[in-house]
Amino acid sequence: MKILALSTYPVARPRHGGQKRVHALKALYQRLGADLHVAAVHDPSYAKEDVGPHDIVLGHGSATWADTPFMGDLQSGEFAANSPAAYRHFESLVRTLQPDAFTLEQPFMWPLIRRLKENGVAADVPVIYSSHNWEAPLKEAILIRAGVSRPKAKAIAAAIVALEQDAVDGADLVLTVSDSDLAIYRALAPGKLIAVAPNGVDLPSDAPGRSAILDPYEGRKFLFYVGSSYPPNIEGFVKLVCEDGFFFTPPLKSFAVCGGVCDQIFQSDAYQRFVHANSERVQFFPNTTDEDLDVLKAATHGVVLPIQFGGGSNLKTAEALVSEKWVVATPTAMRGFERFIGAAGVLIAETPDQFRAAMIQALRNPPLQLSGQDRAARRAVTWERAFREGGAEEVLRTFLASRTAGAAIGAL
Amino acid sequence: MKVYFDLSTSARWSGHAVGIVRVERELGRRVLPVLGDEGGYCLFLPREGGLRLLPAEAAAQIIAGELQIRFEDGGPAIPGAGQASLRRRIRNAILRRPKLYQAIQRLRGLSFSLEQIAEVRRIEADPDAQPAKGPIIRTIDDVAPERVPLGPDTLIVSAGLDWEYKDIRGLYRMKAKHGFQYAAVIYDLIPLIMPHYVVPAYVNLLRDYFGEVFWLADYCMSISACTQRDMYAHCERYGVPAPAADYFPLGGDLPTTLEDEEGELPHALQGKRYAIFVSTIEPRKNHRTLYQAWDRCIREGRVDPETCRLLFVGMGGWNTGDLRAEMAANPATRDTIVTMSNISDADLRRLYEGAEFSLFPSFYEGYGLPVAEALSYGKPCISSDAGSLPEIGGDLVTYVDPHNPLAWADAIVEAFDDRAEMARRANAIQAQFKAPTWDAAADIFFARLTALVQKHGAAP
Repeated sequence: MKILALSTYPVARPRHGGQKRVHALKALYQRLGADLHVAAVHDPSYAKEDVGPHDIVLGHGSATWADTPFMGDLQSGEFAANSPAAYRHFESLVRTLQPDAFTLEQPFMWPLIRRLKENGVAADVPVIYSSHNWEAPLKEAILIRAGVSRPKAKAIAAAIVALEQDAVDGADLVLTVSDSDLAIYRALAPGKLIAVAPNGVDLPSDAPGRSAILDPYEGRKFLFYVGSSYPPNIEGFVKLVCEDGFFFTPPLKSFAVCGGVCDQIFQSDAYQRFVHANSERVQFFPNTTDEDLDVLKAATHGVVLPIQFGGGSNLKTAEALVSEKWVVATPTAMRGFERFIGAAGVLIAETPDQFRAAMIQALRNPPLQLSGQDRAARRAVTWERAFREGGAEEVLRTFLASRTAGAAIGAL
Repeated sequence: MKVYFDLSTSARWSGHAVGIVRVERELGRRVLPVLGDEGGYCLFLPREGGLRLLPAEAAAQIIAGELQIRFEDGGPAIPGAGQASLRRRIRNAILRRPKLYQAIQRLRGLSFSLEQIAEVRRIEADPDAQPAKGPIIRTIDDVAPERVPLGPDTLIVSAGLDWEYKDIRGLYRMKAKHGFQYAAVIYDLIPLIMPHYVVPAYVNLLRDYFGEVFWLADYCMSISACTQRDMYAHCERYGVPAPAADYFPLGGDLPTTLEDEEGELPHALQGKRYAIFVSTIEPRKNHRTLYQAWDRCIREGRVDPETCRLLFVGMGGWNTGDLRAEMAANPATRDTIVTMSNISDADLRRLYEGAEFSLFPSFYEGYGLPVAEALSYGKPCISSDAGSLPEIGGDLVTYVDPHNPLAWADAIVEAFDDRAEMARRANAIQAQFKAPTWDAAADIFFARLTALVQKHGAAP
């Protein structure tokens, strides 16, 4: 059985949350006896090794939102459906691959599926709409924060709601990441088959070797933050951690900030305000290898999750939980993991003062020692268990089996 | 334990020793008398991030304002140092003797009243003016070529403008390497707790300083119990292990020699009854509340505009332009609120002595020197109860909420009307208020610091 996943980013080398989710779903489909093939329209920033054989770069096909930031995902769907070259690429792929189902990763590539169906290229191919979060409010918030006018941001959000409605209506099965998203999609499409496939994480590798990357910390406790260059990741850290400077630690390296967030955090007014003091305390790792990232995660005293807005559930939260370290998180960061609020080693904070107090508390505490029960609870956030215990695995198994049976009957 | 008292601020200063420079010099001059062989002096040299040993003789010259140190090679001349021309110095000297100036001008065919001469002085006065004999300027390599021998038995004591002249993070690294101990005088934490009352350009500089100094310091000596409480609260809020701490009073010695005995009150105050408020005009000092209270008193006829005045003594500071424009334009206040600035110690003394009572409505203070000054002159004082202010005069001071102009109006009216009560208060102040001298303040400072070191001073 072959499934074609359509997305707005490649997943050959999963780094950010969306990529990791698709990667985990691919493993799930494999367990269920299906091969997942990914085809993406992506921005040109990805390296060669990030990109798969069916992926294409977003071209200039869509000028609809050319003057608006953060519109690559919507543009990708329009580009795939309306650019003659791009559409030919996907049409050819579908004719060659003959997928048994599409999985639409986030709603943005829906225009392509709609056209493929309308043109008879894939008229009867069932669609699994794999939501990563309820997109419209998040996009609206990001656009307004980026300086886009409210009417325009609202108009774009409305377009995304319409797109999601179309995608849900056209889908045979909807996967959501959380119970709260489940309620939203149920309201959109009463009676639709919907399952919750919570976000999860891979278990950390066992005892990664020591690396020179830890040298700045000289054996001291440090806190860890990783994130892509994505507005919620940057703004929350700037507001909740940087705003008053890092004076809550002595002027020694005591923070590891990793990933695409680094540049914009460093350049933020809040960080620059006390740049000399902050630089004594913060070590940025913008381009570290996965191996070194694992070393940092294994050695850190705690993980901070200063996320103030955004939809879906946060993969970084799952990673933080499974690391068995202290976790300092906002309630927003705990979305989808609400059961861990109040759990051992999880400190919840909402304001800059609360967040600083929680980081101080975490740093004052000895390394986290979890009970067997607490450790088991945290390890339940692996992808495999999340999909199984959330119910999505069984629903998918049944769904795919029915399609296989249907196809077999059709073949008779 | 060898104690090195840092004179890095005084070594740069030209002009009269006021504020923090005064504290550094007053404590500094008593280091050797109090500590004997255990005492010494040092300077922080930014270019090498290190501490230089300052010989006692040079320290004495710095404290006396006779020596100024150039810390960097080359560069621009130190502002104000020895710059005044001979003609200017002679003119200033004559201006300090108004009747002599008046006589000289008469010889030139010109006529000036004493009030006009006072105005000329105010206009021409340069806050950074040098003493007639300017300080000698020498380089640090010339004066202090040797480094301070640092070790666990070394204590560096700093009472200066460390946010301007020190690399606190550099000192933290140096301390980690050499293991010396560090004591800092803490004046107030207003930039942290009330940043809206601090000149914006300074807020981040001072937040940066306070963000580091409590990680560096083993001991903190605050200038009031209030400031010490603020320090503890800050340390708790930022997770900093609080340094061992105590506090000490500032000295309140009144000037003993006055240059201008022959002066008189300015014309606007002659024959008037007046209340005095000595402070830079800036939002935190809360001149607005007094202005509103006074305006109300005049408009309601509760204070006589013919005989009563409100006197503001102090430089115009930041963010008070609207207030000053209002005071000048308001018919009720333009002639009844008198403002003066750039006055000598002698003039200030004369103004205090002529006042019926003093006012101090500040929103927050780390100490509150004008309250101590007013009490030292035996004047009844009506003060805000914010911050450290109640520590100075205790029950001898009348306290009013700084946010309540109506209460200030009532207090001002009562003070002008009830002469018997004000006389009783003045008598009580004269009988009971004992401003600590700088000798006593320094004794307390070094005794309490020594006690802290003895109690907590294990090698860091």
